[in-house]
Amino acid sequence: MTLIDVFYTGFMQKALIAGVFASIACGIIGPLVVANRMVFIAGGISHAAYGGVGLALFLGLPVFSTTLVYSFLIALIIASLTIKNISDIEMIIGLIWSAGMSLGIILMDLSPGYNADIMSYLFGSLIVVSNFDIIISVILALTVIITTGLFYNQFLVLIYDKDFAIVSGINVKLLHFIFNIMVACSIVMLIRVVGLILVIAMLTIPVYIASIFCSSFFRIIIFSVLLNILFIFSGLIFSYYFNLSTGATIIATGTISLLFVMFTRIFIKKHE
Amino acid sequence: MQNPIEVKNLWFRYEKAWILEDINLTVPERDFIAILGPNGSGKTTLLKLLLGILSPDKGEIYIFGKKPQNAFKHLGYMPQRLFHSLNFPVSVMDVVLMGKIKAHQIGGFYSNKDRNDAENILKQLNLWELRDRLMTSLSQGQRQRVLIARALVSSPDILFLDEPTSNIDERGKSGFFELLKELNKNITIVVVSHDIGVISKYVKSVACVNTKLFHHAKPDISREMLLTAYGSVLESCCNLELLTHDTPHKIYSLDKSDIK
Repeated sequence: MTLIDVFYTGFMQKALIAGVFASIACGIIGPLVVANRMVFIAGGISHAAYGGVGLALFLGLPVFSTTLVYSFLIALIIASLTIKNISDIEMIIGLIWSAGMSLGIILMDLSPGYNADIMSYLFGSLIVVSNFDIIISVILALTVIITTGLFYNQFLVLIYDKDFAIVSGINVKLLHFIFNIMVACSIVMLIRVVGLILVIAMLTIPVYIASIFCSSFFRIIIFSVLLNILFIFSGLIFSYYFNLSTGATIIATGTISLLFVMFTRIFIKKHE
Repeated sequence: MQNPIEVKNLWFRYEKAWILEDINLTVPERDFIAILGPNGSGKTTLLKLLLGILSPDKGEIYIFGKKPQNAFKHLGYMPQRLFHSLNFPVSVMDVVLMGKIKAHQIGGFYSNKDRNDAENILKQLNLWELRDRLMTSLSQGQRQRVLIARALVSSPDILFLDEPTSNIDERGKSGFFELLKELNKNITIVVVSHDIGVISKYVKSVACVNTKLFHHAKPDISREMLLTAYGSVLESCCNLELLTHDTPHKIYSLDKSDIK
């Protein structure tokens, strides 16, 4: 099969469409997560989401939408905990992180029959994307784009200087909740693509590369979206030809690109 | 006309111990008040209460007769430093426009008027040439001027500054306070500082905070004021270095035997 033929196969087209919309959502949210120092919190939401996967399989509900609702709840809980400066917050996030995962595993153990798809939620599988999944992905991506567009300046002020945001009369609490919900949105989309264990990499690697080249926050967002699309496309192609897991191959592509950029930079600096 | 700041029987604590006890303070129109005190005295906490960032446990705060949270149109705030955001890629212009955010409660972009106002304030503070530079590429002094511009661009009635001169050299400090003196012709200014030196030449009144507050109408840095503000910590570590050299006759007379 040539490369062109691969793209004409039905499952590959769906995989790419889902990948593009996930790229847009997490390309927008990733820079905000990194700048807000919320990578650990994003990790907590994504791993806790496994509880939602387990719940869906246990009750026989549709996995994508059940996980989405479940993650919204987790995000709301984490948002209400992080809104105050609690000193034990890292411990609590860690607890939600691991408790969510163990809940998912136990519910799966209790689920009737053997479910071969378990691994696909941990490490991603674009191959099993359904039409319904794609519709939800489009809705989620649009939600993230519109919400970020509406509150872009407010988010910028909040990230840059929270006290100043409060003094300016910005509704900091409302924004905090909105932001956590958006993080949950993009995480659930990413679970399909790379799996919940690899979500953090997808949110951070493009941002690190983009920060090296971009001199404004808006450009970092655009560049992150493009890099995500690039990594997902190339990762999918590599995984198809070499028969590797899609999620891991996508992240490997991203990691190698990041290392390449970093070493090239060091090399150029030395020879200047 | 109501007073810009009115504080009545204010009590505040983070945990068990009271950080501020029974604070009463009235700041009249066009006052230039310095809130002085050593580290941990509660002066920054008081500032955050006045700005509505924190809420009092007991007592009341009024900004032009309104609660601080509802008075944000009157407030301009220059923070001491931006701790978390050193690598954040924003230009000088972006930061100054942040001061205009209050006009946009939900979404939208900055208007041409916002940009004109930002341009005017940048020119006024001699920062116009730096407008496209990233904040990360500026010196401490320049960054502080940008933060002042951000606080002023919304034309506030009260300007709050938290340790504005902590990273500026002696000559820079005088220039900085000359600027504040000029601004003070139109607006009320509140400066939090642990640096009594240069400030004493410019301010109209002084509030010494060390859990309790002592308000002095005239900026006459007296021995009792220093003792109230710094006395308790002189024992463990000498804070006299913090008081710079503009009022040496008042500082050198202090030693440990004096305090007891």
